[in-house]
Amino acid sequence: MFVDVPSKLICEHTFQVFLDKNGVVRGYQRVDFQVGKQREIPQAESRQNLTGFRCKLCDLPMNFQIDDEKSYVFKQRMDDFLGSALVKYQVAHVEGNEMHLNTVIVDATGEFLGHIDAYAVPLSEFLADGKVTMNEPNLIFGPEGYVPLKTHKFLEILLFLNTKHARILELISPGSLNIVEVGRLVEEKVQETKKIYLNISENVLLNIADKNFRIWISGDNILVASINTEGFLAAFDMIAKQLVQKDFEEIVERTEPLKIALKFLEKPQSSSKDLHTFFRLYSDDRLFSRIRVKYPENIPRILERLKKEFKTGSELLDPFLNGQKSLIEILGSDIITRAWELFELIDFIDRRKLLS
Amino acid sequence: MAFNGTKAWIELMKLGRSVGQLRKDIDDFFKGNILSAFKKVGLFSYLQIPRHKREICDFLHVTDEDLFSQVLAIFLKDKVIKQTRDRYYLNQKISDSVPKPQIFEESLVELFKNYAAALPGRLQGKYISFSSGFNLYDWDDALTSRMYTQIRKSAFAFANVTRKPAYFLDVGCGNGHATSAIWFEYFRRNHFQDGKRMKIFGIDPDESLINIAQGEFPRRISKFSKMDVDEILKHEKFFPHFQIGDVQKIPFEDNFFDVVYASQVLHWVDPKKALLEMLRVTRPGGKIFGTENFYPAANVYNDLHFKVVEGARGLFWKKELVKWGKECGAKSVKIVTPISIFLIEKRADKRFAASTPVRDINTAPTISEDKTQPDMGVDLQKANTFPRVRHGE
Repeated sequence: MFVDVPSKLICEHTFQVFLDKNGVVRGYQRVDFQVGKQREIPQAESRQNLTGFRCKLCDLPMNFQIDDEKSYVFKQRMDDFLGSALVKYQVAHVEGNEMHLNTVIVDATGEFLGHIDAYAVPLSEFLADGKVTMNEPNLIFGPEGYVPLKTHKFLEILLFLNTKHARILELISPGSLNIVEVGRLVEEKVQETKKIYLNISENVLLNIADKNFRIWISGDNILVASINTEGFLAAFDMIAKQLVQKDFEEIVERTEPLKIALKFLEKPQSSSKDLHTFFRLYSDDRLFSRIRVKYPENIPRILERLKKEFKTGSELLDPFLNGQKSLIEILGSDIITRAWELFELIDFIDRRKLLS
Repeated sequence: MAFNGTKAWIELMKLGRSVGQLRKDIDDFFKGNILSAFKKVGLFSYLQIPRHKREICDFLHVTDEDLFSQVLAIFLKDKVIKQTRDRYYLNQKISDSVPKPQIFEESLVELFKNYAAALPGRLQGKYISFSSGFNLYDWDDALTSRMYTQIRKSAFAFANVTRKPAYFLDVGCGNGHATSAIWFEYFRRNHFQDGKRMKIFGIDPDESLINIAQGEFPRRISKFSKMDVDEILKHEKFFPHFQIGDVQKIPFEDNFFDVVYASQVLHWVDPKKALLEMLRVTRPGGKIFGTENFYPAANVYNDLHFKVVEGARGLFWKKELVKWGKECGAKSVKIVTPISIFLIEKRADKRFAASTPVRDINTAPTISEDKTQPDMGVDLQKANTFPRVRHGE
């Protein structure tokens, strides 16, 4: 949407501010021609389908058109109320050197039903030498060639957001999802929720775009998950609490191991070792790297012992111990079902200080 | 007790050979190892011509003349060399092959070969570490061998300590294989229950072995019990407490344990000092038991293998153990089988309740501050979350 800023409000010029759906100023433009001293604020009655109300902060009349997305900052469908579909809109106007943002509820026909809240933001926060001052939100795709998981047995969507740098990492999502939009809505919801609750760090349920999302927050990080099997929540909650505390850059760097760790969670039965195994899959490079045994002359003896200890065949151990292949290269996706055993094997080798 | 002695013998006989034959095989191996080590450095070629002791010392660059004299005396007594007046010369052909005892796993053979090979260097003052290099792997492997298992079973048959719950210390627990087996024996007998005075502790000076003991305990128990690791983890609060610790400075309070176990440990340390420490931490009336090779039955070549590790005093006499034990508060010292299995009972007399002749004040953590009631003053809850104390910290 755009908002007219009359002359003398900020400077001697009249100009228009462009806002995106998050209320973020995207830029401004000078007005080429101006008729009359000041443009009248259109009245609700003078235009068709116009929803009119008064600003909760300054009592000036405001309006917007429900079928014109340029006339409001954002809209969000709310739960049905006594059989009526209600929609929330945020609408802005400029008064003095402030922008007033009103969140209102209207019904399906566009009739104004009431305010949710309103707040003022100084224009100076948005405008500095005519440049956009907020960070440009980015969709991070992870390392080159990274493809997020399209499906997961228990998780429909999993996103990792960093609000400080306005970045979103897609971990699990069906291809059709507008990730940036979901990310923005989540962040907005979080900001709203923060106004109410002192602590929302754990497992908050949010409804966004008709979908339930669980969120976990730590500092600037938000982990967003849409869980399709509620029974999975208890197990995932423990993982999410730790995952959200990781550094965003680290998560981006380790997207591939993280995908394997997430796939590991699809196994049929959970156990007390799962949390440990998940984070080992995420952080331990030894599943993915080739090893070098310090005592190559003793590899046959080590191999025999490992075969006895772990009931693992030569076809796996031979190329692994000889440094020809990593475990992931040997086992491929089977590595997931054998993760615990393989970590035991690696730890066994490591504790005996056999690696160079 | 006589019956327990018989049970100890039975366990040893399960090794499948007569104990006499077993001993001979092992003795031949130890002798072959030592001779092979000196052959490799050219000693026996050098002794084709009679040499003065001083010449031999110079040839081998000996700095530890006492140990060299011991080696020479062993070779002489065993007629490997002969002496004519003040000169020594080779008396027999030294074989290139070393017979391997059937009962020794490859890892144990490799370990002793390494220790023997280090003896010429040891004469020059160079020690080796107990578990340096690949020795760590070999020790870990050897300690899981059937021979050590049967020796342990023999000791337990003699000491008969698992009928009652106890505070049990395994000194020199190594990789925790035996400790795990002991834990499982107590577990099988249902001794691990809230409120019971039952806890197993394992100490070893080698950090790598302690890491193995700690990290692999659930998996070991899973192997012993065929139980799933998840099921075993439910009993985590009863798991043994492993920590770095030296038997000569046991990092526990006086009279803390009901039972102290030391298998094949004493020859790696100063045995008297270790015995005093074990008696110190054992409660009055408590038991110390384990296995050791004693003279006169012990083999002198075997003894030489231990001398290469710094701090190891090597083998000692059966009568010395009895003497030290009685001097320091033991009610009785019993030894059976040639391996040998020993059992020491500490006097119940309160005069011996807290004998601390060699205790270093820095090594004693405080579990119970109430030293007037050593048996009763231990808080089980605290013991399950026992603070770790390491020497040198």
